[in-house]
Amino acid sequence: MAPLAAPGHVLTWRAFGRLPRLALTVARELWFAVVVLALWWVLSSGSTSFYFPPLSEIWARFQELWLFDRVPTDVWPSLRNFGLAIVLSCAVGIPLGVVLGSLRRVREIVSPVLGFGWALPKLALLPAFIAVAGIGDGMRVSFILAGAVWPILLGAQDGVRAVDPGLRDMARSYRFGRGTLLFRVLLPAAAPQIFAGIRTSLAIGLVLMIVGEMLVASSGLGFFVLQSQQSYALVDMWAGALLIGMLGYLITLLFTVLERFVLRWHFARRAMHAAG
Amino acid sequence: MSVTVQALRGVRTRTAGAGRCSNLAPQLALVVLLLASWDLLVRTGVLPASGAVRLSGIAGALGDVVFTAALWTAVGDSLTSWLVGLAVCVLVGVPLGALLGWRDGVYRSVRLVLEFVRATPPVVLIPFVLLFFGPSQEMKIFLVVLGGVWPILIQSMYGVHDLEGTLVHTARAYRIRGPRFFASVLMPTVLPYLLTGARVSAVLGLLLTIGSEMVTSAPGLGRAIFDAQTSNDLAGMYALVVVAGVIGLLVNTVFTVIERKVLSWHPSQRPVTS
Repeated sequence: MAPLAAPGHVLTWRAFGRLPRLALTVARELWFAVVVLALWWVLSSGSTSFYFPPLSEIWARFQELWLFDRVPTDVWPSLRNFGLAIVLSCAVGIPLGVVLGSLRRVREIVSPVLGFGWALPKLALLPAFIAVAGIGDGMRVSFILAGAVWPILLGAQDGVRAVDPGLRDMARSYRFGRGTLLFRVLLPAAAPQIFAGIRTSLAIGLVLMIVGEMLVASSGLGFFVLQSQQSYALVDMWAGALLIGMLGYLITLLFTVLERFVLRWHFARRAMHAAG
Repeated sequence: MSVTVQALRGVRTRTAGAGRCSNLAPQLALVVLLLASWDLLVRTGVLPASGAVRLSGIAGALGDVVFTAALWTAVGDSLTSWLVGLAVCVLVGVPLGALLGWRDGVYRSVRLVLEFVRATPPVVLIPFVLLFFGPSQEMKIFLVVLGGVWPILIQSMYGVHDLEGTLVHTARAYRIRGPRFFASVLMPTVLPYLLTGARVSAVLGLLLTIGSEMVTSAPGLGRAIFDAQTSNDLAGMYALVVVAGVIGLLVNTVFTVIERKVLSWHPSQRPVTS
């Protein structure tokens, strides 16, 4: 997107002329979401259906529950476990992936084991985790970790493996030290794939977190939604589902902003290539 | 043979086949090592005996359970709902996504809503579909469709939207229409997107199937695993986890093979994550 005014210039009338265009772009992206919400609100307003309560009621309940009454008891523990598990996944997955990506022979030897770990439907492990580690926070964090580490590990591995051999040769001929090679060459080159891996891990981690809470917890968002359904409190259930949806979207959005910032050189280069 | 391998050792682009042959022994050794260390951890009590089972116990239970009808009924139940759900995802998601991606205006309008829906973890719907269908096959299928349709729909939409204007204009100038446009212009662009979407949907669908079976005790492998744990049949539970792993591995292999075959021409035959 072109800057509003070229650097060194004062705002000109032409720049003002672009403002409506910016507004138009934003409107084009937003109007459908607004229409969907408005339709939901209007169509459900007189609803007496047990399954589909009016959106106004859900929204009222949403405010009662989540602003900010039950945040310390239900939202915070869930998010803390989730965040901790994702940070640990990065701490384990990125170094391991970089090592495996650099050492071809080791990578080939461990690849069947990694393949099995990646392919195993992670939820099948939950009962085993309960049996070994009980039902505390430690179990929940390690369960999310066990599922979320794979995409990051594989992303880092593939990213490092795909580093242009010419780049490695150049680093060698300039006699870069190991540290310089790692932080100046390998990690930046692998960063787009690592970020793609983390993005997948976030989605998997949320699913594991919620199912874990549905099955064993006595607090947390997954527990709250299932509990509401089992006590036929449908408005509560919808309010909980709405919050989980919002959190999922917010987490993705924040991550996208972070990615855009950290990888701005990558996106700039890609845009340049696309332009010709 | 060994001379060839010796000669190729210095070359960067050695074929994967040669590497696989020479690595079979260390690969097996690693697997044996991992299994042995699990056994050691259980025997020395690092992993609690109340939760972990010796290797021999798991192997014995696996040998027993493979010959029971109950296992294959459970596996059949899980795979049926997963496959039917996945088929519906493809049948609905691909055309709908293509329709939405065709016009730039439509694409921009729906993008935000679709990204929101996709970012919502679909397991939150388990309680809701449970109300409608009870713990049944239909519930699982419905859940797989509700959760799994988005990745493939969005990929289809992105794929069609990615069609280059020049390409379309050229095709139009040469009057390439109908089936020929479909086969030689549309498909080569969209297919890589579709296969990525289908794989994500498949993995997600399997996760949803097993997860919903655990939470709602609908029939299937997930329920069998959970039942084994609650009835304290730990060896049986680990045996079933192994079965689930093998199924996951099969699903993954099938998709990898399809992608390699269908997209053999595509420059990036490396896992594409977007």
